[in-house]
Amino acid sequence: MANVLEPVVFRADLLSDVQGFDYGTEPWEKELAQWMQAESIEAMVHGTKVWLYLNQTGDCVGYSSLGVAQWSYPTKKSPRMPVLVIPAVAIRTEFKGEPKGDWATDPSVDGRYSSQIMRHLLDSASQWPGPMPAVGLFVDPRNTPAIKLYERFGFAKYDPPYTDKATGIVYDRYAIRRASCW
Amino acid sequence: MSTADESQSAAWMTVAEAYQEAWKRDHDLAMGCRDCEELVATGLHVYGLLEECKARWCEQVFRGAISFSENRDKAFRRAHQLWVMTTQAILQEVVDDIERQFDEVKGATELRRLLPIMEAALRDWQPPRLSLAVGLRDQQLTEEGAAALDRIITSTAPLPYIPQKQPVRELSADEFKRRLKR
Repeated sequence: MANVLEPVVFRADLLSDVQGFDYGTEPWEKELAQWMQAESIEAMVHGTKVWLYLNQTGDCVGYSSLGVAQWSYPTKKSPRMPVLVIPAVAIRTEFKGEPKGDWATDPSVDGRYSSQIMRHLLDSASQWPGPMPAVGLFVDPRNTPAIKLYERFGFAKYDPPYTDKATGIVYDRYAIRRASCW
Repeated sequence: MSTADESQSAAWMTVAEAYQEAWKRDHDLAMGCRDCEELVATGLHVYGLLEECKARWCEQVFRGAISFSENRDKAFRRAHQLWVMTTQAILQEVVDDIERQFDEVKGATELRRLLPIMEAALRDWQPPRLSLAVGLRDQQLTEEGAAALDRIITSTAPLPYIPQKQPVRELSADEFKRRLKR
């Protein structure tokens, strides 16, 4: 298939190759560009995996990431629960909605880059070692294309929105049951 | 400075100062190989302790479990400086001498290897910071959110996408660099 993406495990010396990529002008898109530049390497030190995606014509179309966070239930005695999270995932502006085609809505066969990246993330999540029951993510509620994509893959909203005290930005919280293969 | 800050900072300084004290106390006696080996062993032990504490602190700040504290950062940096000064003195004033006359001092090779690492860490000191990606921060679920998450986790409804069982094929970074369109 001509437009199959191949994931590449990111490392520090690749940062210069992806510098200056344009992910869009919306606030959440700028945030994703900033994360890649300013935090991806540090996040890897804290156990997060980051991937770049290369298409068959040699373009890097975007990146994704997968890590672990601790969530606590609201009771005092309940222990913290590790969950897999997708901290950041982004597609460069010129590759959004690509490749064009009469794609089925079934997320298992949709050939768009966004769906290929989600499948890779969920495959990687299922093979991540450890008893983590869910995969979670935070998304700007105005980012409707991303929300549609997540919902198509089965993510559901699970908690009232989260407000980042540092920036005042509000995020919707989504999660999906983790299909485990380990 | 908060009570927690004070006790943490005091603990790091105590460990680093104890290392320095051991060096001062044993300075005249350190010409004996055995005393020297003990000093080197203490240096290695304190190094491990400082690195472990630093990693834990960075992780907690990154995850938002505790807030960054300027005072704690200063105290931590001071403890690292003390370790470097003491280690330089031990290596230059005692270990080198003994090794010229006798055999290699046990642990000295490792201490020599660690010294430039710690010096570089001090030179490029990066205070820890809160993760930009809210997904990587520790989360406290609300009661409503915890119930919704439980429903997601325990749901038996089929997932729209069933992850692949075979390991995901990933390109190497070198292959990426070779194939990337510039």
